[in-house]
Amino acid sequence: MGATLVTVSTDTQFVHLAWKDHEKELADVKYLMGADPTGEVSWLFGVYDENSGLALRGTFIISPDGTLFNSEVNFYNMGRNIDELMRKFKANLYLSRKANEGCPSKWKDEGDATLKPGPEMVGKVHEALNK
Amino acid sequence: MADTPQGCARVTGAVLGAPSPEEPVAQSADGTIKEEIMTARVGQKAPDFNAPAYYKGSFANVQLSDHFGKWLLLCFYPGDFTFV
Repeated sequence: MGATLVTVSTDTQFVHLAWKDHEKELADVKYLMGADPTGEVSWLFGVYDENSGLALRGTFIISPDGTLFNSEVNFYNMGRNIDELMRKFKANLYLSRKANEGCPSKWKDEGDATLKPGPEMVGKVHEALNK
Repeated sequence: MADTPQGCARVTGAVLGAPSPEEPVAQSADGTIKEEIMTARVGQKAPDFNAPAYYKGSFANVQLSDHFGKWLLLCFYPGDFTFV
């Protein structure tokens, strides 16, 4: 989809290298792995945990003009769901072209029903979703 | 991307556009310290930063604003050798 992936943890770049070299799951990794050992960058995005000195599992979707559109933060022991992430990503791409529409919770991909908020929809969201 | 020399003096990234610690902190009339550093909020510009990075076998630097122009996914995680 032509998006750039940047990851950040409070490890140093040297540990990133060691991890990349030892973990077969990462054999195809070609994204930037940022090092934030003092937690400054993590703090900036509200995911720094002072108690542990670690970054929580934060995921941020940023538009081409630098606007933050989505923010999701999971606790340490809760993994991210790639399907939900892709859903959000696709919804953002779609809405960047169709700013006057809304993607409801069940929206998964282009072609799925969207909402067009307006006077005629007030009190009729149920009907609009179940057309 | 060219390999960046890795020093030991400054091992971490920096917040871009933030006042340096030596500068006097701006105070408003009632004495409360103004928050100069903007933290991330949905619907607003993502705060910029610069940090050392690892990229395709080399050490590099990552500056968030260098990647504006395309959609960008920024993921934080507690540590290498953990799951996603």
